[in-house]
Amino acid sequence: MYAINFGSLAPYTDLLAAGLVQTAEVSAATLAIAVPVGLGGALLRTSQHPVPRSIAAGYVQIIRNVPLLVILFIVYFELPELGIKLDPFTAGVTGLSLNTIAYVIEIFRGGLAGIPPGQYEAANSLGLRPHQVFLYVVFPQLIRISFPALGNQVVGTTLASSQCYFIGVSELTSVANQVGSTTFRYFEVFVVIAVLYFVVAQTINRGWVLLGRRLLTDQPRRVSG
Amino acid sequence: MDVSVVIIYVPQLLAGTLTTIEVAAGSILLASILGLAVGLLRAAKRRWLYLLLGVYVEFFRSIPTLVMLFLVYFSIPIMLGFDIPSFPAAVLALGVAGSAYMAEIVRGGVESIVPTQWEAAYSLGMRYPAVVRYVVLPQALRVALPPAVSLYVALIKDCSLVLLVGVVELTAVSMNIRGTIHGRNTLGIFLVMAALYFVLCYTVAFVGQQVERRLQV
Amino acid sequence: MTQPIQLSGLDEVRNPEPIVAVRDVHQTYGRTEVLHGVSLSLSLGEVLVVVGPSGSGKSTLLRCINGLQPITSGEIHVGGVRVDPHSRQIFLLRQQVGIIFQSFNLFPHYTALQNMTLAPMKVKGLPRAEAESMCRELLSRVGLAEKAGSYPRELSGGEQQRVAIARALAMNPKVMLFDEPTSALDPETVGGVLAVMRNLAEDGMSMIVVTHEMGFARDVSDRIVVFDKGLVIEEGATEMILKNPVQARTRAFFADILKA
Repeated sequence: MYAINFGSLAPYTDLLAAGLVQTAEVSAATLAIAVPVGLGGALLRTSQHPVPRSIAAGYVQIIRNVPLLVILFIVYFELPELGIKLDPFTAGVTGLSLNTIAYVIEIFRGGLAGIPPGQYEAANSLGLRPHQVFLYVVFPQLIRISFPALGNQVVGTTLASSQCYFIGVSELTSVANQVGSTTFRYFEVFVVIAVLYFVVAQTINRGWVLLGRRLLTDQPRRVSG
Repeated sequence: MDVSVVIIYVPQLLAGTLTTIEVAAGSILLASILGLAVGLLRAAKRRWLYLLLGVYVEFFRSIPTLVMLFLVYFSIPIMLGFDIPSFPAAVLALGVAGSAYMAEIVRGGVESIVPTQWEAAYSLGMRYPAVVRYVVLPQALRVALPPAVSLYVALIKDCSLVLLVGVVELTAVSMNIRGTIHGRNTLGIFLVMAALYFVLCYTVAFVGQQVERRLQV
Repeated sequence: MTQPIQLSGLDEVRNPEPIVAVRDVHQTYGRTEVLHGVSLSLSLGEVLVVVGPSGSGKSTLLRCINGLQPITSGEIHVGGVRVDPHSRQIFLLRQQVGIIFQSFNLFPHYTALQNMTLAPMKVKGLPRAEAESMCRELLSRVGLAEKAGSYPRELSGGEQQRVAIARALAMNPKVMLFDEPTSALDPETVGGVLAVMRNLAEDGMSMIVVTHEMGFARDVSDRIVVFDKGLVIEEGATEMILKNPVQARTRAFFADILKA
């Protein structure tokens, strides 16, 4: 009869914490790259010119229908054949970014579709130049519309970072497996990291909502006069 | 890129693809049935049921699929004392995780039905199960179809992870082949693998689109 | 009494220096030609009302005048400058032409005041203090001084439209175009917007107004242009047209409006 003993994990808390930090770093680096690039990609995706539009559309289609693991393997194992040898962390961030960019493009594309054409008409008719129209009229509305979906994506990317285990990144899942194979306490360790992932996901979710309230809620200015 | 090298391995690749399809089919089936049940129960507006199942849904949506696989194949057997074979473990892990997403999709579909539809059905004397079966579900399914198809595609892609639990599906096969022919054309194998997944996923997405089109009211 | 059907030549004789001159403009959208050779002109300080059935091309014409939509052939001049949507001058020209839309198109993430100060600050380079005081004054002129800090969703339709008018005025335009400004409003709020437009006209603004509000047309406008299927079918002094429309289609149109 298996005796559940979470205490057996005590010596390994530092290791697990390091794994969690690595997960955070991979995810943060990925999002820092993927969100801006995805925004650019969405602009290409909604461009008037057929060439950038199809390239962006094609990219999204490919990534959406190919597993992340395959992309990670290609980045980590094949690029060296072409002369680009990446360490696991960089390969992980690259592969995860390529994946996340496609989803971010779709999120922002949906957001752009939610902006009424009248907004562009009004902005243009006031004499604003295209970059000003984007900066002051389009982007603020785009961010507000896309905010919830972006939050989901942040969680999704963080969870997906677990797949970097397969290319040797010492993120949380990989560390848990190490601990498990050392102690054979596979039950305890994976329950713990499941709970950790759960806490992380919930924290990101709530934090995102609060962030939205701080940054995006309109502050009414009842200035007199 | 030398294509002839790849041709030798076509039977293996197809066998692997078949395994992927089997795992995917099993997971999709499990996720759909379980998710439908949980989603409908959650939409039934019984607070305790909503909260209880809410824990289920939130939990399984907040952990990576890979961790699910570890839990089902390594953790639970060790605790319970008996092994779970690879294939069932894979289907169970992917299916249960998928059911949590499916539950939310189903709930979203049901809740998209305007209250007036419910009122009309109830006022005709129907009870909850009948209302759901004849009035709500047909309409809800239309709303739920696109995200459900998205979920199915995601489940197919998740199959690439089940090599962890010893299921020899497409990714495992491809990596084996790559090990064998290491040094020559390994990119070819990866591209073939990617292409096969693409075909699987795109087919499901395409069929989904066609069904959506037929269902347009 | 003969009522001349519009001739562009006659137009130029009467209005030697029009602030808006539209000559034989054709506009195609996709495969359909929307404007089939439209000509009209607006003099400084004049109020022109454009009427006609839905889909007759009136909105398109307005959007062509400030370069929001390109024309296929013909010429449009505003203040003597040719309207060319692809030239770099178009931004300067748009500062001269204000346009008010049926759906207000206020920026939802800005307060009323911020909606108004955006363009003066970013396009004209006005410093914030100056822009704000100018805009507050304009808000008072349209009767909404106390709503400076309100967001569009907190305002009624009529109030939003008045803010939209003030926003356009903040750029100090020479011409104002109105595209069915009251069509989307509740009947109670229509009056407020029309009053603001009337004041503008009395202050000497050159205006082209597409509308169904015949009362406004009769009281405020100098000339009426009747549109149908992408062509001007009748135009002239307001009183004359309203009393004695020559064309059968014009008569039918007025009959329909009066029924509604």
